Amino acid sequence: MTPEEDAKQRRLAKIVLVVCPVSFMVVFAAVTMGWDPGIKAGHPLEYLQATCFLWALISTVLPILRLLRIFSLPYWFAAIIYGDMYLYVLSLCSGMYLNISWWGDLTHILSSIIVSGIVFMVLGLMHSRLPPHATFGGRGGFTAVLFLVSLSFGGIWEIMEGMTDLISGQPYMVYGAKDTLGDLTADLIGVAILSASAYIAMGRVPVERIIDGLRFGKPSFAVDGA
Amino acid sequence: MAAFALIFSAVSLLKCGPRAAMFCLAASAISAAGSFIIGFVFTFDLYLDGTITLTTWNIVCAVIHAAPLPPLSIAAFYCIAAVFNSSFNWALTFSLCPFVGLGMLVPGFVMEYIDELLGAPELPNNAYAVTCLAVGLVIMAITGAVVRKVMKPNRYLIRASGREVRDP
Repeated sequence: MTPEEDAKQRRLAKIVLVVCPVSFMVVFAAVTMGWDPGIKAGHPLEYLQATCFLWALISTVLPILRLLRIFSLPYWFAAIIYGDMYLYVLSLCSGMYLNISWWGDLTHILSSIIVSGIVFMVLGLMHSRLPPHATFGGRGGFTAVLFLVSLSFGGIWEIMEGMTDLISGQPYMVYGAKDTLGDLTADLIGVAILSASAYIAMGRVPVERIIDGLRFGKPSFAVDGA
Repeated sequence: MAAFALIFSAVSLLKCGPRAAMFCLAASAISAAGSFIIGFVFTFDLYLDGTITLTTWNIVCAVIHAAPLPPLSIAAFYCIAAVFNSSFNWALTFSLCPFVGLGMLVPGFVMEYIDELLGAPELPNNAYAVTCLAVGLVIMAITGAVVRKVMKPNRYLIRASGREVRDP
C-alpha cells in the first residue's frame, strides 16, 4: 500500500479507537444511571452492562489490530459491522428485543448475514493463498463451502448463549427452546441471503476484488518504499 | 441428517466414485439407525412419562444426531469436489471439516421449529438444542483432527475424480 493510504487508515483507526469504545461506555453509563427501558422490558441490569462493556472491548481491539499491522477489514465491511454493533446494543438497552416480537429474529438475520460475510472474507483470503493443487472450484464450490461453514456459526452462537446461561445460572440470553430454534431458523435465512448474494457478486467481480482491503499478517501491510 | 445423506447419495451416484459412495452409505445407515432409535426406541414419551430424565434424553439424542456427521461431512467434500471441480487438500479439509459438519445440524432444528409452530409438543428448555450442538462440535473437532492425521502424511487430495495422492 502507498504511504498516504497507510497514514489515512491509521488516522481512521485512531478515531475509531476513541469514538466507538467511548460511545459504548456512554450507553453503559446511561444504563447504570437509570436509563431503564431495557430493564423495564425484563433484561437484568448486569446483562445490559456486560453487553455494553463487551462491545466496547471488541471495538477497542479491532482498531488496535490495525494499528499493530495485524488485521484490517475493508472500509465498507467494517462500517456494516460497527453499524450492527450499535443496532444490537441500542435496541437491547431500549428493550426492543422483548417489546417487539419479531425484533430478535430480524437482528439474528442481520447478524447472520454479517457473520457469513466474515466467513466469506476468511474463505476469500484462503482462496487467494491456496497452493496450486488446491481450489474451491469456482464460485459454485466457494458458495457451497460458504453456506455450510456459515451455518455452523449460528450453532456456535447458540452454544455460547446456552453456556452463558448455564455458567451464570441465570436466563440472560435464552428465552426457551422455541427462542433457540427460532434463532437458528433466522440464521439459516441470513446465511441463505448472503450465500446467494455472494454467488451473484462473484459472477460479476472476482473474489479478490471483493475482499480488497482485507489484510492479515504483517507482510500484507507493507508500505511502498519503506 | 437423512435429507443431507439422501442429497449426497444422489450426487455421489451421478458424479462420484465408490469412495464417496461409501461415506454416503455410512452416513445414510447411521442416519436411518438414529431415526429408528429416536422414533421408536428412545422416544420423547420416555421423558414425558417419567421413565428417564430430560438430561439423559438430551445426551442420547445429541450423540445420535452427531453420529452421522463425520461420514456426512467427508461425503460433502467429495460431492462438492465432484460437482464444482474443486480440490481439497489436508489443510482445507481439516480447517473446514468441523464447521461443515456442525452446519449440517442447523437445518434439522429449523424443521423442529416448523414442527413446533405446527403444534408439536414444545421442549421445556433449550438444553436439547445446545447439547446436540455442543456434542456435534466436539465430534467434528475430533473428526477434523483424524482427517488431518490421515490426509497430511499420505498427501491425499479430494478431487472430482475421487481421492488422489499429490505428486511430490
